[in-house]
Amino acid sequence: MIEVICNDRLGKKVRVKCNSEDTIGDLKKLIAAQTGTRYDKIVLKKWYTIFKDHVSLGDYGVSLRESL
Amino acid sequence: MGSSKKHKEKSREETEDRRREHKKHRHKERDRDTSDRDKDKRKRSRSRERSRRDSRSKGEKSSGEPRVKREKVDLGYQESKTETQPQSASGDASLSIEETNKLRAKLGLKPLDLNENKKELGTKEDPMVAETINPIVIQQQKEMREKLAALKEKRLLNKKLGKVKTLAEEDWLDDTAAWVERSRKLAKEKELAEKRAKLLEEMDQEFGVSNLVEEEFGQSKQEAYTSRDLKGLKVQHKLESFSEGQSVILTLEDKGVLEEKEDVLVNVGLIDKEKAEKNVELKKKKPDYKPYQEEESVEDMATFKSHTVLSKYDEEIEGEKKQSFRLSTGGFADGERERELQSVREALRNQAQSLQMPVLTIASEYYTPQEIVGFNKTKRRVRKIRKKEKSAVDLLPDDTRSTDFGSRTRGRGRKNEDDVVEVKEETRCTLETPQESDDIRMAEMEMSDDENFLAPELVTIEEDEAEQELQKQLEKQRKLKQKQLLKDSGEKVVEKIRDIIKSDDDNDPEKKNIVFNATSEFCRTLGDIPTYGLSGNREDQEDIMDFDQEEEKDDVAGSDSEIDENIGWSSVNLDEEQKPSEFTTASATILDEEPIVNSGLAAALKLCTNKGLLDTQMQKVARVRATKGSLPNDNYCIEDKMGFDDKYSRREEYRGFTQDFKDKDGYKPEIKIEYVDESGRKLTPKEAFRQLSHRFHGKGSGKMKTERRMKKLEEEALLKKMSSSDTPLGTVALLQEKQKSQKTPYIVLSGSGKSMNVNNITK
Repeated sequence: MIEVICNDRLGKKVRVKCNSEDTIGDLKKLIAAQTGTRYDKIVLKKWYTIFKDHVSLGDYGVSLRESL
Repeated sequence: MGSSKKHKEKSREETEDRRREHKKHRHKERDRDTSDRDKDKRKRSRSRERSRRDSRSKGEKSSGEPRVKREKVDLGYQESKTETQPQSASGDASLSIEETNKLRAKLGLKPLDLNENKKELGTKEDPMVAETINPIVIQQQKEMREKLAALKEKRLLNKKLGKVKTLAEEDWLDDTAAWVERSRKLAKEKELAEKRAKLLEEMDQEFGVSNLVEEEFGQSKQEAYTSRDLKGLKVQHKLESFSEGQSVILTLEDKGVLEEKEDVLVNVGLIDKEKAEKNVELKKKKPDYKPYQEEESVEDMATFKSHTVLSKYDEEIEGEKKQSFRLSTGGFADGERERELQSVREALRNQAQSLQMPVLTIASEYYTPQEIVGFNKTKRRVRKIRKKEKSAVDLLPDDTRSTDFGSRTRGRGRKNEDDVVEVKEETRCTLETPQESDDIRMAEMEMSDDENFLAPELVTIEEDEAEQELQKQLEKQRKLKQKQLLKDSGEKVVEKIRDIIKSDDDNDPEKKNIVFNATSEFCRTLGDIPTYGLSGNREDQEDIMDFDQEEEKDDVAGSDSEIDENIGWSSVNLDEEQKPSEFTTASATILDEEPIVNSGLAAALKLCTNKGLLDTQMQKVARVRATKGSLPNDNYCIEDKMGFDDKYSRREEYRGFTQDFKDKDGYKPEIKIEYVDESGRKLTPKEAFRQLSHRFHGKGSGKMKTERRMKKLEEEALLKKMSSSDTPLGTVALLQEKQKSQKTPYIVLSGSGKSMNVNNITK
């Protein structure tokens, strides 16, 4: 169970709890649910590496607490 | 799939929710901020529930409405500016686990893991120590497992091996009875085994498999393979390739498995040798087509095998023919039969007649000795024998007689001798009977022949004899004639004298014969021959003429005839003193012209003397009357007198000697003219001409030319001065000088070149 922090640089910071096996898409949905944006509008990045939707978090190496 | 559908449905639902939410937001844009804030809150905390309710309520409504794109950023920005969201301590808005689980359930995701508790614990605020992975523990576990496994295996093995008894456990020593029993048991078992085997065999036999089995398992007694078995085997080599005393190992030739041909023995080495020979032959590249090859190449018995067309391809078409022979009983093979065949072939071939003609040769132009034998007459032999005998006798004292040994010259030599002999003869006795003289002469000839015989060679003798024969015959003829003549002449002279003495006044003007002669006619026309008609004169003259004729015929007896004539002449002269001598002389001279035609020089000379052209005593009137009048000249031309004055013709005429001096015929001098310049040098033709032209024209060469000439001359002089053995600078001489001064055989080369100048070379 991972908690991921998403910051959109504009004041919205969201902490999302998810499994490591969840895909980015799922994470995005969760984020969208929390932030109120549409999930397909969300582009998650970690320092210019865009996370693709079909890859799981675990594969991306996102561990316990990381900020994306 | 199902999940995906669910997911899709869910997603659709979500989108719809989103739309509604957006719409909601839209509706209350102004109040959005606050409402948004609230809404956000609510949303975050219970948004899902509400949305669910809302969606249920407003599901139908919102479906038709179009989506409205809202920029998230703007929204986010506004939100972030305006409101201070009630967030967790970290400042993030986060849902609780339950909410997230709900969310996730809605989304179709798994609920969060159990670790969430730890996770929750392990937040930024409270860092928890994570469980350390203990490799040691893991290793230990591993080892434990391995050990357990090993023990298990051991147990199993021991179980197995436990059945087998070790030696130490044997207890036969202890109990012989037990051993006996054991051995009996073993024997029984053996018997049983045998019985079983027998049974099996019987079964095999029943099934007809026994043979195979026997072959496989049984040991078959092999038969001995002796030389008797070699009978009739074929060896595929020429019999000649095996030499005596040589042991050659033959092996079976390879052949296909299914081939039914008989076995053939070959030797590997021989096969290789044959192949090599064949290759060598091929390499030689002999011409395939031999147009002039005779038909003798292959023959069977006496017949010659004719050449087939394109015989070189026979091998390719029909396959290689290999010579082979068969072994007889006991494995022997002699070449007896082959040799016999060969000998028979040879005999037949020799018997055959060859169609060759004898070699054509050029026919010889000379008779062979054998043929000459046929020419001999039988007489020859007799003579030969005689001559041989004589020669044997006469050989010894021959040396002094003559040196004429050659057969060729014998005829002439003989002739000479004969002449001499004849002369002698005549001087001796003129009136001898000819036969005697003949004989003598013959005899002398014979003797001379004998003299000349030295080597009794058959051939030469024969030739000589033939020649001798010829010569003899000729001589005979000649002698006869001579004798006749002599006789005649002698007799005639006597007769004449008698006649003359007798009949002086014989007036028989005309004889039976009137001889007209060209010269006589000529003389007649001349006119002054009153004595023409005189019989006596004529007769005498005739007689004399005849006499002369006869005499002049004989060259041999020239001198004698002259003497006789003189005698006759003088006699006649005496008798005819009455007549004007001049006439007689004239007539005589005139009439004497006749003999010139027939006889040779002597007669001519005689005539001359008679005529008086030559200075002799007889001459009385030395003049020819005929020449009184001017002789008519056939070639008469009138010379032009005007043609000798002009200078041109005079110029052309050469009044000197046109002929070379006869006495200077052998004088052929070698002319060589050398030109020399002022200093004495010999000039080339070019230079000589230049000199000449200078003198002719009166002016010499210009400045440049003369300078060049001078230079050239100087160079030539230098060249002449230059020594042949030394360099132009005279290095060798210098070196020698230095050596002399230094009194060493070497020279030290050191320093610059200047030190080696002529001036510097000092001691």
